[in-house]
Amino acid sequence: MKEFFAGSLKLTRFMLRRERVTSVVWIVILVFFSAGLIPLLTNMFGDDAERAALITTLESPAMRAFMGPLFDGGDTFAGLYSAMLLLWMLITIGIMNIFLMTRHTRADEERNRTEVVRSLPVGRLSILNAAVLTAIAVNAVIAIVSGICILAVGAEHGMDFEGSMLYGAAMGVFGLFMAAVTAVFCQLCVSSRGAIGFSFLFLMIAYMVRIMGDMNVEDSGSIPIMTALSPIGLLLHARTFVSNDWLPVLAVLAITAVAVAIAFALNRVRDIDQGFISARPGRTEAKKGLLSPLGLSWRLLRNPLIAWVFGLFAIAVSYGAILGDIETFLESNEIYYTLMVIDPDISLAENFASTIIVMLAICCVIPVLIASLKLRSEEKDGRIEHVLSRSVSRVRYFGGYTFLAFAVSVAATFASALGLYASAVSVMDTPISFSFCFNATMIYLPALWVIIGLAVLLVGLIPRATFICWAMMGYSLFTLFFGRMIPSLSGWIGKTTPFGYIPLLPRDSVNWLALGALTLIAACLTAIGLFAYKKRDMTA
Amino acid sequence: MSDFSLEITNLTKKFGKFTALDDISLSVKKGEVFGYIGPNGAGKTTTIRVLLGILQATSGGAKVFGMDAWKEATHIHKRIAYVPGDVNLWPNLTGGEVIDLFISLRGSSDKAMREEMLEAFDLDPSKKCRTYSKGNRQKVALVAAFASDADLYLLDEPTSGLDPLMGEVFVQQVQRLKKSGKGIFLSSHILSEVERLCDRVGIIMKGKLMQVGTLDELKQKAAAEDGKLPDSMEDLFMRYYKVSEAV
Ligand SMILES: Nc1ncnc2c1ncn2[C@@H]1O[C@H](COP(=O)(O)OP(=O)(O)OP(=O)(O)O)[C@@H](O)[C@H]1O
Ligand SMILES: [Mg+2]
Repeated sequence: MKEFFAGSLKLTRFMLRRERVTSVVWIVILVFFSAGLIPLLTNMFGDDAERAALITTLESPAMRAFMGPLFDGGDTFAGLYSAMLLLWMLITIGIMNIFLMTRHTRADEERNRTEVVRSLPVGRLSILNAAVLTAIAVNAVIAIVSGICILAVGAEHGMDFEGSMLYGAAMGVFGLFMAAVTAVFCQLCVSSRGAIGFSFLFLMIAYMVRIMGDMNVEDSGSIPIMTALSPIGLLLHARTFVSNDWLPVLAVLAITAVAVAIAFALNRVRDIDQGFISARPGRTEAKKGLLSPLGLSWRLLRNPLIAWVFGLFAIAVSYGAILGDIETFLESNEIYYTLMVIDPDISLAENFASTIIVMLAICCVIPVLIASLKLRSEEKDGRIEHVLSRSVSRVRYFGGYTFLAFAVSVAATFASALGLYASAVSVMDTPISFSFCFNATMIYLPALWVIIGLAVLLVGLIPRATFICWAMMGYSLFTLFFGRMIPSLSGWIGKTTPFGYIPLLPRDSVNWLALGALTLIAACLTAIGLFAYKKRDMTA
Repeated sequence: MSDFSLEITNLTKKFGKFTALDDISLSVKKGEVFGYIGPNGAGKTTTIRVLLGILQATSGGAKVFGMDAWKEATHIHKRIAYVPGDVNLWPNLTGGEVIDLFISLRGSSDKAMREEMLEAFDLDPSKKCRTYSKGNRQKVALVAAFASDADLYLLDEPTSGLDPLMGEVFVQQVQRLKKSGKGIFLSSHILSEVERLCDRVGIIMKGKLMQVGTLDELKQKAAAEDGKLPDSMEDLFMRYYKVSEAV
């Protein structure tokens, strides 16, 4: 048994060295968001009146679904802080760990690095083991540093030692949990892309499942069953800064151990480069549709793009499902009505819907970026020369991926609109209209196009920096979250991303000038990207 | 139109400060097989990538069929077939699909030729590229190249990973192309292969073109320099290698 793990520590040290930039950036970002935001938030709900207003908002089923539960006794600054932020910190650290685990296991295997390492005197399970150890180290650092920083910054705002540590621990444990889950998917799937896709799906399901448990306004003091099925739900019920319950954290840690054990077991029995989905003989000849640059691009992107379009439909359906509750909630709560509704001509449901559509639009960024950045990853994987060395111009090749990115932006937003409408029809007495769903969703297209423009600009100009696109997506989420959900911050921060210029229909009127300007910017960025792409060297 | 398949004039390529190709000039006539040899990292692949318009020359340039390799890449590629040294394929496509794709991206397609090459190289086209061995991946690229009707074949270590039997099939195919008057630019570490196939040879070391000429010319030159006729390609190669080490 021992020889299976030979050399693990050396490999761990090596992986940590490879992590010194990426993980440090993640750690800084995560710690900034967990502790650095405290001073900002004290401006927003520092006094009792502001807190009362915020609590009314957070108590609505929609917000509970969206942000997580509010516990009895959680009406302090610290309590509200964790009610508003912990969920998002968990998701962020989860995403970080999905990439971390894949990078060191399946992606390395794909690039034939694993076999070089395995040819050295290291054990069969050492690479996975080292990746797990690396994840433990990185997440432990995040947990401890976040805990300490929260305490340091938040002590004067009522954030105590135990709460701060528990908050950090919840983050670290969830990070490790997602690393373990990803490790399992890395064994099951045959590609790193597949492993990342399934892990994201898992994260999304974990977020959705807990919604059902969190819909109850009454705090029963125990954890609802549906919530307990989701590790995210469980960790939110650690009741940080309220009653500080460590049990959920330990429970998630225990499941993590099980997941790691499964990953090891799978890793032991599978062959290198293989997964558990068996390979059957494929076509001996290509279909007509594959035989063009665009056909090839489509074939390579087809599965993830279609999956994401369906995924967005599903997300929209589950958001739409809340709309029925909104109406019931409305009837019993007048304060909320006066608080939220700015335009009395528009129903509360529509007001709420227009807010969640922003979230859907940001989710649409994912398939859009998958399509536009494939241009770069094909180059990086050394496959672009097969195409460019044949009778295919760079313009045509570039155009194919860009076209797919624009096409999927339309398909994804349309799927969101359809999903929202479909579930609204089934849960609401007076459903919101299709034209509302359609308009309020599709109006985000110009913003998505700017993101495409940014992506292809980077591919053309600074191919190494394409990760900035993903950072932009995270940043947009952040600004919308704070800019739109909490109106007092909606000033300039919201205007630093293209999404900030999109009117919330039907509350705002359509600003054609801004939409036209965004489209123009997108076109310019794309054109500059193409121009630079034509001029530069193709390198791995 | 010129008599040359390709002409490289004073080509220099820098990556940052590092000079990968230093003032290279050479040309390949129509219907000629040109061997391009040199140690690892000498700049062979870089030269071919410049010829393909995938890299842009820092100064000087290359012409293929009289057209600028960078500016008119797409036109040139209609008449070129290329086999990379390191064949990365799409793991989810089958070999057959990739071959069809490659052939159709070039333009023309010849069904009979495709089947003939699959047969000659003994490749199972129904397998996913993920499951191919290195030699089989190489075969995918070779089948696609030899099944296309090009005027110039750029081959970058095309036989790396092939078994001796397949190496022989490769030699036969190149001889067939040579007979029908195609230009071939062959970079290789297999000196016996170069000796058998090439009309002229260029030796590149550390980015500098040391020698160009027919094998006999190179041997004579070496003999004139240190009084002894090299008895094999290896011997010749080693001499130049030592010369470049000394510089
Ligand atoms: N994109 C790049 N950036 C920096 N240096 C590069 C790049 N591509 C190649 N080089 C360098 O240029 C030199 C020539 O590389 P090249 O791949 O042309 O060698 P080669 O003759 O094909 O070698 P081999 O026989 O090993 O295939 C090498 O020293 C290599 O490190
Ligand atoms: Mg090479």
